[in-house]
Amino acid sequence: MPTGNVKRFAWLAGLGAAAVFASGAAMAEQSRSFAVGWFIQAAHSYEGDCPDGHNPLPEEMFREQFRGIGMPDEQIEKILGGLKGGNSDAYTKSQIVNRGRINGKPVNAYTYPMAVPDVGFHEVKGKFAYGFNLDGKADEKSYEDPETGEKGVDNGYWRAIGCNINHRGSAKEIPTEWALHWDNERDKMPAWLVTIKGADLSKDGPVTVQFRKALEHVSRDANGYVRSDSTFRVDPDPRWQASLKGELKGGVINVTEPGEIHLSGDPYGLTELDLRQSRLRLTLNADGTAEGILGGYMPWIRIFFVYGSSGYNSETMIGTDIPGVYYALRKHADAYPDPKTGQNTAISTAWRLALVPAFAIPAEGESD
Amino acid sequence: MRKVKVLLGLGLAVILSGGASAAPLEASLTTPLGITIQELHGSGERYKSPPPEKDAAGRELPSPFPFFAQGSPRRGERHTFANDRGMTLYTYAKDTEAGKSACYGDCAKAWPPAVVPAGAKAFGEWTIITRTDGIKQWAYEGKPLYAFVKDTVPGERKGDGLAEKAWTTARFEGVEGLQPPFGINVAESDYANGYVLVDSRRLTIYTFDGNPARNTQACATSSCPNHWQPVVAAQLANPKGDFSIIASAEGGKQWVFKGKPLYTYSGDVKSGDTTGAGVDKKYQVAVLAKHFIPKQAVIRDDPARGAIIATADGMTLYRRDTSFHQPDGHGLPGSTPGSPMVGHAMGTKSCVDDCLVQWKPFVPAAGAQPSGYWDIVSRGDGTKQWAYKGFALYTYTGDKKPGDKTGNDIYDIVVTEDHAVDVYAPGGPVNITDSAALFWSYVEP
Repeated sequence: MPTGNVKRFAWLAGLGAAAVFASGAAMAEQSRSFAVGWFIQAAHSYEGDCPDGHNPLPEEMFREQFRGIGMPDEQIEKILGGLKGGNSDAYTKSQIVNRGRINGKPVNAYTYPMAVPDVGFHEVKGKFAYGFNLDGKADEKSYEDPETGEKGVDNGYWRAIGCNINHRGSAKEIPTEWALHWDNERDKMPAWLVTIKGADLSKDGPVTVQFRKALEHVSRDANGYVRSDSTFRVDPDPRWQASLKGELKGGVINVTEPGEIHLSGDPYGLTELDLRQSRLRLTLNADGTAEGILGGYMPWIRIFFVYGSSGYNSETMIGTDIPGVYYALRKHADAYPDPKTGQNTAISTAWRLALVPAFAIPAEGESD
Repeated sequence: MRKVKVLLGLGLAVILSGGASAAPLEASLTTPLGITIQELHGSGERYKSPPPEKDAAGRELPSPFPFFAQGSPRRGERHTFANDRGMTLYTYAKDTEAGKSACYGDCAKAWPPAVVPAGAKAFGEWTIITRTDGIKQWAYEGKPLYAFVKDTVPGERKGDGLAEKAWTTARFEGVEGLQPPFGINVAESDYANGYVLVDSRRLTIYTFDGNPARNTQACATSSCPNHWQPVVAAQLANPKGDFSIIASAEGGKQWVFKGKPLYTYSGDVKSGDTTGAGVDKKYQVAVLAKHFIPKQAVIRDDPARGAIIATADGMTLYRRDTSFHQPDGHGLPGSTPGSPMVGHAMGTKSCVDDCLVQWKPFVPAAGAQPSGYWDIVSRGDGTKQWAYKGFALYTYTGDKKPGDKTGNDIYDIVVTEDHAVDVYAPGGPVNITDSAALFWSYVEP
């Protein structure tokens, strides 16, 4: 069905592109649209950033957690002896899924994560991490952006999770955990669209950056990359449309007035990109693509669900202890305190974006 | 095999002599009042039950998918006719005399008849028999229909094959009785809420009321917004059954069905589109059979989403589903539909107390009866609620005007630190191998 929709409106996209080209001089505004090809945690791992070491793999975590609930070593080893990734035996799977304890009764570890003992993730203590100074302060919990040198960078999510082996990565190496989540999700979740608008996008000047959700998912080319120049209908639902003011300078766009971005997704990835005080640094490449860093505060429970929604399989095949993620996110959450409990409900984040050129048209048919 | 036979108006007319049949095709309903259609237990390849897991001692562990416990049936066995409570209906081999039941006494206690509600009328293959005790019972193709007392949830068929195969599930498998010629098929259409004729590209076919010789197009170019294209018959094609052939006004040969020339519409670009509906009242979608829809509801052609179900005054209807990792996703038009079994398992308890502040149950009108994919379910307080394909229906207070869909794509992650909360209590999520979540979505037919 989405493929059909793309075909259906392909001619409209052509009209749209032609209209922009032909009337550019007369119109006050130019626009360029992109589809998000990659959306992953912005990792910046380097030697020494985890001085306390990397977090152990889940098998060791499980052992410690089972000991924490008072399970005899013999039973623990029997459970762990059945670990074979997705093909683990039923007894092992059942014991690991239900390793939480409430009043001595086994409960699901992904729904009741605090019923599992906290093994305590090591935190990223290095100087550098991607992101933005979201709160305007620089303190012992802040980083420095490795590309821009911006001080006071807030990135609680990286601090919480960056010492997991499968989260290690860089601008050139996508971390395993997010590679799997995004690669699984983008073929079925609504495409996320970014549109840049400005008087003359070939020159420096003020721009508007729109984040919108499409009614189709992305498609792939023969190499498995997200296809360029596809046409997407924009979901008219205003909940999924954000517009932020920014500045284009030297081919790089920076958002100057942070705002909220909401884009619905799908389980296993983000059910919703729910970003507050959002900042963006986006480089427009000569080949028509764009890439950059998006930062902001995000309700950490949505991030937790990325892990929790894949549960046992994620733990045993990707290698992240999910209750451990819960404790770590909760600990490093740094904004939007709950008025009743005082617990911070949001965590600072930085995401790496890779965009491919696309056409964005309103669902009703007019070109954009 | 149980299929709804095509019941069409005999609008046979003198097409070749310039006459016109005045009425559109008369499509029958797939079910009468009191007869519903249920997806069988375990049906749908995406929802088939995993094999039972065992503990170290070899004991079967509780299934996280108890409602899929019967596994996946063979293709073509997906749906069953069911009574007004969603319980599977059966036919009885000993009912050999047309219009009469042979099941009374203890038999009738185990196999209660499918009772005809007040005001329901027979049509087509659906007839009403009067039992010796005066009870009116539905019969299909002359065969009285019965439920089975040991079936306890919609879609179960514990009675199938019992008594040396005397009892047989009354399955619903679409339409029959039509043998279209090569190049014409029958397909289910969301927009038409039923079965329609389609061409070899699976595009919707329309009937034309009028004289095709005078059917001059407003324009004859592809850019014409009202471009009707004849369904072309091959030069060597022969008439077949209700399908005849005429000389097309545009040259060549054209298929005619029940006296009505057939066309496709240039605005339809993919299977299921019916964008030509309402463009010109002389052209009607060639509907063969329609599913029941209550007068309180409509199928709306949403410009962004396609066919979705709304109240009669246009307000979007929603269902609450468990969040699965589904292969086609949740949030796009045409993504994986909810499993009716999940909907039945969650029932009306998926939205109670505070939830009801924003989500309002879609209440049936007085005297409304379930039929087809529409069930009527009871809430905890005794009030009634419409359910569609297993899921209780709601409107959303955030929607302010017809066409709004602000309740769509709302996820509720139910991970909790409160250990007194039973996340998996009835009405909660049913997937217990991962973290739990529920989500709201609009309802596609």
